[in-house]
This record gives sequence, structure tokens and C-alpha cells, in this order.
Amino acid sequence: MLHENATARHLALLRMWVFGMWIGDLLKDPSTDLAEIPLAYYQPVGVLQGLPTSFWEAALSEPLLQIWWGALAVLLLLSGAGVPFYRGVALVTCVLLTFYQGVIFGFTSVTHGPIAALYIAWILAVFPSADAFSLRRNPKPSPSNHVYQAAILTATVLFLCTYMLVGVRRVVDGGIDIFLDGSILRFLARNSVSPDHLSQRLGLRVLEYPGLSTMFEVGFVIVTFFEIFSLLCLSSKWFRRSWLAVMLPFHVLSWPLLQLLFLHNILLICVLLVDLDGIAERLGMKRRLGIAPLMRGT
Amino acid sequence: MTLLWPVRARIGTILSAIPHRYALFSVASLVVLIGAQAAGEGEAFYPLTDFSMYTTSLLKDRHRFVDYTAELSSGREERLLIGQLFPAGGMYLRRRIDDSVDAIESPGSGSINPVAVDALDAMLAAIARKYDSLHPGDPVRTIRIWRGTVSLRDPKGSSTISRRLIHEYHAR
Repeated sequence: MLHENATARHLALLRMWVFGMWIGDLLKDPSTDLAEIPLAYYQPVGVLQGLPTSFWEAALSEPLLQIWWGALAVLLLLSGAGVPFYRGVALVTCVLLTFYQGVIFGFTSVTHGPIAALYIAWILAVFPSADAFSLRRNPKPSPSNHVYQAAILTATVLFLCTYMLVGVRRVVDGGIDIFLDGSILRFLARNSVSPDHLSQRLGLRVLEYPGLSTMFEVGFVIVTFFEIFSLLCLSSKWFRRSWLAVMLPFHVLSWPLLQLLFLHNILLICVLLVDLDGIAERLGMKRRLGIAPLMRGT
Repeated sequence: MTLLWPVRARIGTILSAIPHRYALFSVASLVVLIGAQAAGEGEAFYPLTDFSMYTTSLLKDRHRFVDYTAELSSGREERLLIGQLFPAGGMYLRRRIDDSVDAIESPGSGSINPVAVDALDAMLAAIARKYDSLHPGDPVRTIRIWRGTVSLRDPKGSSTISRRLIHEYHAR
């Protein structure tokens, strides 16, 4: 089974990766820009709806956004480094991170792109993820590795569930018709006329080539199939490899064709589903890191 | 969850060997994730949400969209990409701005709603300021909003796009 030999060091590497990802996100997308946008475009979501408008008028000003941004960057750094009082620091980090992402969603809508990465940060805060590779003075790893395995397994199952839920929802709501009525080609065309980063309108070009159109219609069925059965990645090495062969190109192509970038998911796939132990072994890094096999195929 | 059947024994061994609070957290987090999907309220329950993407058929053959262009001080005209100007908001912020463009056009009458125009102009001012901060050498003079239509099924693709000017914002 995937991750059945994980140790404190594997979980610590995952901690550094996920909190590091969020630091990268913070640097890439400075939320302080949001202070420029008129408040009329802000609609609080979920738990943030309880806060009054006067709070948002103050909170969405540039100086306060800068303070939040700086505090979150420091806390993410401390959590990623595994400082003393890790759990308390990491939980506060996750509360602020949830708030930060919620503010962004208030200007857009709740999208599931960064959600899995957010949930996994919470898992890493709750479980003892700073028992290795940390700045704590005397971290005492648990004598049994089960707790580390449980943490990585919970993160992986939750991550795969997000795919499964999308696939199941599509079949339940859209039925078989959604795969036969050419909807995916219309989605491609529709998204490509409203670009947000890339202006080439490649999705619309797909319509000009019947062979490509057919390929995308078939691809839509294949992607949905792998989404629905995502959890099999845990038990079958061959399914996991096939899943990667389908999902990674899908995520990469989604950006130029559908104007959707699943950066968080691509980065999470790299640590949760790619055979990192095999790669580390080939590069001769395994002994240096002192990690036991991360994955064992079934 | 039936798909976890082949590894149920090993998962059971791991969960039974760890402190109950961790086992409970693991199981509860999955139950909550699936429960939120069943509730299907993406906005209302954040940080919980439902997961859906391309779940209902898109059957219309023509699509209306909005294009944003800027005439710069140098006289050059270029398309504005909201995701580049506000990367934290990206495509979904653009959709919210698209909605406010829709609001300025009163359906059927062809007239312009002045209240909605003020709200849109406030946003366009923010876009112009942001563009100017990134390109101080060639600031925005005018932002133009275009209403476009495109065929979603025509093999002629991008050549089916037609567009007309519906609004202009003059930056100070």
C-alpha cells in the first residue's frame, strides 16, 4: 500500500513542502493588491460572512493587508521549519491561512483549486509533523511509525477524494449526455475567449481540427474515469502510474486550453503520488536523507 | 470508499495503533469532506466546499463574452489580462467584473444603467492604477469594454468572433 513505510522524516518533508508551497503562493500572488479593488466587489464567504462590513472596510485596507501578509509569511516559515511549540504555531498559521484564502475567495468565489492544499496544511498542523527535520531542540519521534503513516495516508486519501468527488458529481449531475453532446468542446471555446493570463485562445483553435476535437471528447471520458477511481492509487501501483499519466498532462494542458491552472494539485501530486523514493535512490540521495522506502507497490 | 476495500486491513492496523484523537481526526476529516459535497453549498460553508467541475452540459451554440482593452499614452492598444494585473484573483475575479459589465446593460431596452456604470468605473479605475504601477512608462489613457459573441461549435473557431464597443472609461 502507498505510504505504508512512511517515517517521521517523510512527514517532515511533506510539512516543509506544503508550508513551502504556501509561502511560494504568498510571494507569487500578493494579496495586498486586493486593497485596490472596490469593496463592492467583495462578498464574504462561509464563516467570514459573520463579520460586519465595518470590519472589512478596515481589514481590506492596504496597511492591514500588508500586516496580515507579513504575519502569515512569518508563521508559514516557522511552521515549515518546525519550530518549538510547533502544533500551536501551525494551528494559528492554518487559521490565518484559511482566513487569507477566504478573503481571496470573497473577491472571486470558492474554487476548489487551493482547497486540498489548505486541508493538508491542517492535517500537518494536527499530526506530529515536526518530529524530524525541525528546529525543535530534542524532538522525540514516536517509537512506532504508525502515526506518521496515518498522517500521510489521511492527506493522500483526502487529496484523492477531491478528485473522486468531482468525477462522481459529473456523472450524477451530467449523466452520460455530458460526454456525448460536445459540452467539453464548448467549455474549451468559452473559456478561451475570456483569458486571464494567456491570450492565445488555444481552446477555440481546437474546434478547427476535427481530430483534436475528438481527442478532447475521448479525453474527457478518460479523465472522468480516473477521477472516479482515484482511491485505487493507494492499492495499485499500475493504476497509480496510469492515473499520473492521465492527470499530469490534463493539469498541464488545462492552463493553455481551459485557462485553469491547478498548480497546488500538481505540486501535491509530486509528493503524494510520485515514487520519490525510487527517484531519490536513483539520484543517490536516499542515504543522505536517511529515509526508508516511501512507497511499496502492491 | 469501497475503493479502499483492498487495503482495509492495513488501514485498520494503522488506525488502531495510533492515539484515538488522531484516528478520530482522520476519519472525521473524510466524513466532513464528503458531507460538504452532499450539502453542495460552495459559498456558504467555507472552509468546507463542494467539488464540481464541468458537471452540467453546455448546450448553447453562441456565447456572449466581455473583452477589456486599454489604449495607452503612447497610442498603442492592448488587451488587458485581469489575471496578470491581480494574480490573487485571476480568472474568477474577471468573472465578477464581467458580471458588473452585464449589469450596465439593461436587458432588452439597450439602455445603460448609470448606477452600475459607477460601480464598473470604480473597478476600471483600480485596473488602470494597477496597470500604471506595473508600466509607469506607458500609462493607461482609456479602457474600452467590448461585448463579444462567438460560436462554440463552428469549426471556423476564432474567425466567428464578433464584438462591439459598449463602454469607455477615461483614466485621469
